[in-house]
Amino acid sequence: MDNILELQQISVKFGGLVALNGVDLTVRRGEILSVIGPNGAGKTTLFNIMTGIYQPSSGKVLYEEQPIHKLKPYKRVRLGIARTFQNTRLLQHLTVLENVLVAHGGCNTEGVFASIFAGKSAQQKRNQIVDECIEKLEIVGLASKVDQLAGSLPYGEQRLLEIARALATNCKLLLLDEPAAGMNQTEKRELMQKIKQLSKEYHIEIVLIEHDIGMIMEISDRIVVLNYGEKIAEGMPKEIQSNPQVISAYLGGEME
Amino acid sequence: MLLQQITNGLTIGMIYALIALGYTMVYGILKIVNFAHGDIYMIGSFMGLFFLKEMQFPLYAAFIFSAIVTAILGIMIERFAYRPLRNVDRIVPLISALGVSTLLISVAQLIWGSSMHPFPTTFGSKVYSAGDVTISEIQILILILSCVLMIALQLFVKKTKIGTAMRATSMNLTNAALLGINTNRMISLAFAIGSALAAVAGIMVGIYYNAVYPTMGYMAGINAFTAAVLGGIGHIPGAMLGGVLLGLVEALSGAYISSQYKSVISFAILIIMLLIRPSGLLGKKDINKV
Amino acid sequence: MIKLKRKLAFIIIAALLLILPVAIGQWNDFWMHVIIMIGVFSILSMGLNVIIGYAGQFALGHAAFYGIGAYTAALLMIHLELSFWLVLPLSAIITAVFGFLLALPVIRLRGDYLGIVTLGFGEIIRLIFVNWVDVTRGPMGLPGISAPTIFGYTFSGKIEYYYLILILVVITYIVIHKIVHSGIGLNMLTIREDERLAEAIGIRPNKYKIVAFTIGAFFAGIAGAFWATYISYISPDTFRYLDSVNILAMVILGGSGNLAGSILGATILVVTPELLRYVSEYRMLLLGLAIVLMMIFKPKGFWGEKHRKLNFYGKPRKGGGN
Repeated sequence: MDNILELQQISVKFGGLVALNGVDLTVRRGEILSVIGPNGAGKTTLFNIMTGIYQPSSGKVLYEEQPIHKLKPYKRVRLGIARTFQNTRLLQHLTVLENVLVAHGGCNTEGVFASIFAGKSAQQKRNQIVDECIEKLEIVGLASKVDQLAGSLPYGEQRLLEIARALATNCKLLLLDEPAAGMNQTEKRELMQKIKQLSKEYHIEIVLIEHDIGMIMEISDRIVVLNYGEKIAEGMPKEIQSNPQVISAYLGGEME
Repeated sequence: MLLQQITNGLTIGMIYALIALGYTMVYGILKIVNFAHGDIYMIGSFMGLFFLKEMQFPLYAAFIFSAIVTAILGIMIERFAYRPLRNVDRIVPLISALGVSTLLISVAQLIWGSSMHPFPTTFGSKVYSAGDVTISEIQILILILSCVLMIALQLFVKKTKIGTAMRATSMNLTNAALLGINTNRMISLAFAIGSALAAVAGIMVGIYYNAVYPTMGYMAGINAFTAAVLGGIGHIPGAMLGGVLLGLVEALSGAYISSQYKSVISFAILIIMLLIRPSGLLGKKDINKV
Repeated sequence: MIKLKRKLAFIIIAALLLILPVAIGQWNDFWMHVIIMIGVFSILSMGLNVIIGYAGQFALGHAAFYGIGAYTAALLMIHLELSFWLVLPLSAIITAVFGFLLALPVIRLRGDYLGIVTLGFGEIIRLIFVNWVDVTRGPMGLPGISAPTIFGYTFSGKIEYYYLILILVVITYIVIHKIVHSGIGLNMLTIREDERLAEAIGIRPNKYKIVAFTIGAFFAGIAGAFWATYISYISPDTFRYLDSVNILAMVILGGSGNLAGSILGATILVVTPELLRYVSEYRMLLLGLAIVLMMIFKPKGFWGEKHRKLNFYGKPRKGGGN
């Protein structure tokens, strides 16, 4: 039970193109795992396999030791896997609070009749859902902006809102796809604090795709390096830094 | 009986195929269903009536002139009702197309009234028979002219420079524009060719059934769209195959199952096809990428 | 202050609606009929708005649901001689079942394909009305549908029907308003905006699409049952493809994703043709033109979504808990 998520020999092919080739990967409890690699290395594809947007051509995905690679995305969310997107996907013209509400399980299971004949107990339940969502917004520091339109937030805050939304699903495993993209240094610092806090205080396992190497080295417990759809290295940040293969494939190449 | 039904089915199938080409070419490029296409076909038919009856043109000239006028109509519809909506939510051009369809039907009703008009030509009534099968002159014309037009279109798309540019446009609009292709012109061309073919089909149907009326485009449009989907929308030989298959199914089911429910059968085919294999018999399956 | 104004406006509108028949009905039966038609089409377009405006599913066969509701009601009342008050919910439920069954296979389709399949469904239903002569009497239609009775009193004039449709419109509005402002509505909006996102946050898109179709069909069933008893004679002519387009135009014209907009759209599209009675041959032409121009210049309709208050959960809540 040390591993929350396990990918076994995952391959993904699109037509003739091999996006991932026999990748093994485990996410252990209590850790922040980073996935790095040059553009087109298959990082986002890996996320899509974990969340169920793609089915692997071969290989297995185990979550808490149960195979999940045949499950639809929404079912995996209910098991506790949530994600953010590389390009933020928010409901621009809805408020910050509503953007979090949509992801809350209580909002997703409300029935037709309950919504029509919403009595006191239903209203109480709704208030509780709202309070829980505001809590998630407090974690990322957006609680003061609940009534603003999501589209009006600056870019960095939109990314934070995506995290709050993922948290509202009550996830155990959070996949962050380039959460720091477009943030300045101070924002990045704060983001790192929050990610650490999520991991240590809230005990959410985190998998991170990032391009900012400095941030990766500082925050990660473990790093997996992908190149051309294959895993070329795995280890502690220090081991990765000194791995010659990684240096030639990634660190030596174009830095972003 | 059977052979006769097959002959009739092939005739009407060819008409469906000709109309289906308009749906397929526009869908191939813009990925929208031109809901007004059936009504363009209806206008084409009325144009034929106009040139024959009012202008006293010979039949071949009526074909040519109504094809030209209808092509211009097609270009104008695209220019005014679809082009301004190209970059918005896909539901918007669809509704606009419904508006155009309503507009065309009502214009036709205003000009020609809502009753049926006979087609004033003596051509086509001559009948040949071989054994149990009888075939009329107009049926022969439909079979031959449709085949000729479809082969010509296929050659045009595959062999000429403009045809290649059109294919490039239908593969990827943005890339084609980057290659220096005037994609707007290609879209206009697709509408023009599709409309002209529909006009030819409209006149032939007008002669075949000896009837033209403003709402004739509705069922014909649906059937032709079914043909396009059946063969694989966006696919030119597919439209032909789909049209012929649908024509045969309709003729045979009308003769052997129920003539009242024959349109139910073509709707059912359409629905089942879209549900089971939306890419059609000849189309490629889409690779669904994020 | 704004709240007070809203309340006042509400009371005035309510009072006007209540005394309207006294003002009009006395001297003009025809305009009473027009107003009742506005009510019928308001229910239809609000129902379709759930499917198109909220769940974002392009459905083109709404007149079929309307027809199923009307035929169900007519057949139940003619053959089983059931009371209208029982028939009304029954037709709504039966129509909702049709909506549900239609939705099951078609929700996988998107955009134009969905539109065409629902159009095909609508036509199949109409062809059944036309051809299943033993039951529907085909194109001749079903005459002699009885009027509702209440405490031994039988509806006889337009005024009774006016109050009935007013109540039905108000109920429809309230119920749909509650649904679309609940978690269900929020989920539908998410599916409309970004289906992939919806799945990624735990929403099951198919479920909410089916819910939308079922709700839309349910209210079309109500409108159909009312229509049958009101007009006392139904035929397939009322449930054509063009009628579906008309209902769709009401939703779009008023503003999809806005319930009051649907009522506005219904009002415009029912009243305008009557005003244009003297140029009635131009009616359809103007309708077509209006739809095209509307799409080009005002694709969001007159009352688009931004006018909607976006509070799914009661009062707006400012700031964090502490």
